[in-house]
Amino acid sequence: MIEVRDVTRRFGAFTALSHASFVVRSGEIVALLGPNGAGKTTASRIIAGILAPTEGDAIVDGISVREDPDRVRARIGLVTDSPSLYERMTLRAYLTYFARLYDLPAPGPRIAELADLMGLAPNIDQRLASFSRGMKQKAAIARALVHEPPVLLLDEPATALDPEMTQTLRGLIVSLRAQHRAILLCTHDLDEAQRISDRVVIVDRGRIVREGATEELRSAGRPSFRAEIVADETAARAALASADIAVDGVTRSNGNLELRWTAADPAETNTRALRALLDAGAKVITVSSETRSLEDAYLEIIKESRQ
Amino acid sequence: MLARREIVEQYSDRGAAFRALFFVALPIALIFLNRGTGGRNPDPVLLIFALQAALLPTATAINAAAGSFAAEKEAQTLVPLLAAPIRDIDIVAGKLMAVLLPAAGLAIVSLAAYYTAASIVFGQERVERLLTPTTLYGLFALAVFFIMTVGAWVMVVSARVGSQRTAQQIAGFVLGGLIVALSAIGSLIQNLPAELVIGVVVAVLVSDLVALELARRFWNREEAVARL
Repeated sequence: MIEVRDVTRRFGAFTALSHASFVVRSGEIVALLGPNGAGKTTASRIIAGILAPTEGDAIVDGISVREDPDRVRARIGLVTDSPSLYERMTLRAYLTYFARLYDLPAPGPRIAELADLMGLAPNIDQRLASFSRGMKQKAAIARALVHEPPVLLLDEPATALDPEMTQTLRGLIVSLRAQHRAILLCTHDLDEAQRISDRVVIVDRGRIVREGATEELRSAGRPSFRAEIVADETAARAALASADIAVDGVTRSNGNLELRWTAADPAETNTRALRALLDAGAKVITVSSETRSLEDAYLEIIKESRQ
Repeated sequence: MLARREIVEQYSDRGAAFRALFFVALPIALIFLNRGTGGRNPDPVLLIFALQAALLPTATAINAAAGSFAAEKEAQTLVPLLAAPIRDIDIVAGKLMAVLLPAAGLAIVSLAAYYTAASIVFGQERVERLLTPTTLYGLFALAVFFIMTVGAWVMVVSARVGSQRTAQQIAGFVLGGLIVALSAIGSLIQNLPAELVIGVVVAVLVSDLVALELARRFWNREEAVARL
């Protein structure tokens, strides 16, 4: 489990992270989202015990990064956007080297198990320089898991991976959650975060601007609705305007018209909208609610935080 | 363990092995090329080349140190290392050992090869009289101090620059200047007052201490991560 408690980090006059607090429980994936320079990497480095907080503290598996960063580091597996491998080494030699840095007495079976898990068993005695980008990232993940850490920090782990490899990585991260690890995923990839994260923490300019369950953030705000109709666009727009409904968007699909609006009181607003459209001679094919993507929610939250 | 990985990594590069051979072979070649130099008294020439035989292999430490620090920073391989549960001082000490041990070993090989070659060209009796065990130990000790200076200063430079090549170039200029200065002192050594020679040795030692302290400060985890 990770507990970030009111952490601030300054670099000279620049505040990279300001009074940040959040929790990642065991068996949970939390996505730390934010624009470039928002403070995500600073946060992950503080949690990893390689950067001390200026104020506040982070508790990893019950240990304070301030009081005992060495023991914190022993409980964390860190994967960065770049695989960061010693490429002249073979995979076996590389994993053995890190296993020894983490004081594993007989790492052989663990290394074989990890190579197998990552699908790299046939390549275990090959030099890392000969690996593809995806294989290198898998090797980096194997390195992060070699000491079986209860906490994983994944900083943009899918950068530059092809879709197939991204999907494999996603499956792997989900399976690690099933092993009751606490996983913090720092990412720009909102689609990825939407697919696998249980909760989301959004950080902007060093401050946490929103935190919540992924689905909760997506459904926050006024619900949005979409009607697919057969009608003249001008007449349909005029009908909705006469019913006091603001149209958010109009598109055409297979010759049909798709209209979008939001409603604070869906039962009342949607009834009024349908009545107005039918009175204007429109033929209604479907009316459905639309859930925002995490991307829409994220962009809205960032916009709000800057106003 | 850290030092062993670094040494294997550095010397698995053919270029590094060739460079090491070149620096060992150079003083030997100079001995054969200058066999007539010095007329009836070749002792100063023998001493200057002995000094070079001890110091030239230390040039390999530039590549080793730049490779160990700047290249690792450039390739971003430092982050996983810094994330491991090892102390800052272990990382710095491991890397310094990886710079020191091979270069010191090479200095021993170079001095031994030089001693043999000089005995063949100038006669064993003369070389035995001139390069006594005390002189050879002194030359070796100077080489070790020199490697430490190079290693520590390259560490300092590497913390400040963005690439391995820049670190090598800056450190190379510094080292080249030092070797020229030491060779000049070596050639004049018979005419120099003892105080000046002692002063130079003290200056090298002070430089070692300053560089090691700066390197320790620049390469603590916080500083290193902040500069990545």
